Amino acid sequence: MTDQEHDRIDSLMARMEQIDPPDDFVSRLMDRITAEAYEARHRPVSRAGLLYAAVYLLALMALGLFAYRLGIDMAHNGSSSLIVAILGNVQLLREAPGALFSALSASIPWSEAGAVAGDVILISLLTRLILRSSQPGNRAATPR
Amino acid sequence: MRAGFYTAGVGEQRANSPDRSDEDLVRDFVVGDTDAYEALVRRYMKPILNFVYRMIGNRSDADDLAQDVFVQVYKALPRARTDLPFKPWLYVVARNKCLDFLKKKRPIHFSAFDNAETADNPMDNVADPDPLPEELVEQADLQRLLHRAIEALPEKYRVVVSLRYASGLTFAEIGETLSLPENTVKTQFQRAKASLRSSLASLA
Repeated sequence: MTDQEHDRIDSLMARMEQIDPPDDFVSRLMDRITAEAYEARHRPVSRAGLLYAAVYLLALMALGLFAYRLGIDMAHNGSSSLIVAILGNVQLLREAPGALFSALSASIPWSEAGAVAGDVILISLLTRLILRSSQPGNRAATPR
Repeated sequence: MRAGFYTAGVGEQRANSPDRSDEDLVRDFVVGDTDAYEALVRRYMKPILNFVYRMIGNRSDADDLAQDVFVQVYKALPRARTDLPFKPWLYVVARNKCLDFLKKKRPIHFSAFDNAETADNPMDNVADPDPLPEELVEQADLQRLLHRAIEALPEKYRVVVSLRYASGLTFAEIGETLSLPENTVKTQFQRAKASLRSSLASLA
């Protein structure tokens, strides 16, 4: 079917009335856009947003501290050297996977690693909460 | 800037200027020319309003929703890709707005359109109690029939029919809007017309 082919339904639908926008459609729209832009610029920061930001800062500082501790412990107990060796010779994984796994699990400081992982999850969650608390009412349009 | 200080101006001239493509206007708007956005609104406000009206069935809601579409586009355009065609994207926004609106709204029953207080009936605006000429009555009946027939369509078909008849998009443009191949759009349109034929037959 081409755009030009016409049947009785097309003829009938062609008689469908087109409504005209009101005369003030554009002016109302632009006034509304101006007002919303003004409100967005002068919107006070919410209490929840401030709280999330404060916790976010603490979480970032904690991440630095936990990551430092993790790095130090891994260097002292040899787990970082073991990982470097494995990455340098992937064949080891095929030759002695059980032994490697045991050595890694015994040497990695799991509490520090858990603290880093948990902090990363917390930071991700806080990022979402901060973004949500700073959003205006309307959803963003579909990305092009 | 304070609300209420908008006055019409250059936008109206630009909307009617055939050498200014949508993409030219979008590029101008993105770098800060609000008149370019006004020109886009003037160019598309009637087809968008008609599309929204056919989708949701109520004129005053259609006016508000059409405004919402353009507000959303205004906010999103600065972040959007200006190399892609504007028109299909505009209709994507409009379609999504309509579908969101329909999801929140309670189902409309056919009896609601027989109610003179809620139906969009040209006869509602006539204050003269004397009988109207037959042609006006027939025209009003036809419009009501077409309106109800479109309302009766499933949403998927209503979108295609509204884009085609209310907004005058080509099949290629409808395909771009719905992210479908043109042949699929034509198939859906044929099915929609068959549905429309049945609705018109049963409502007439």
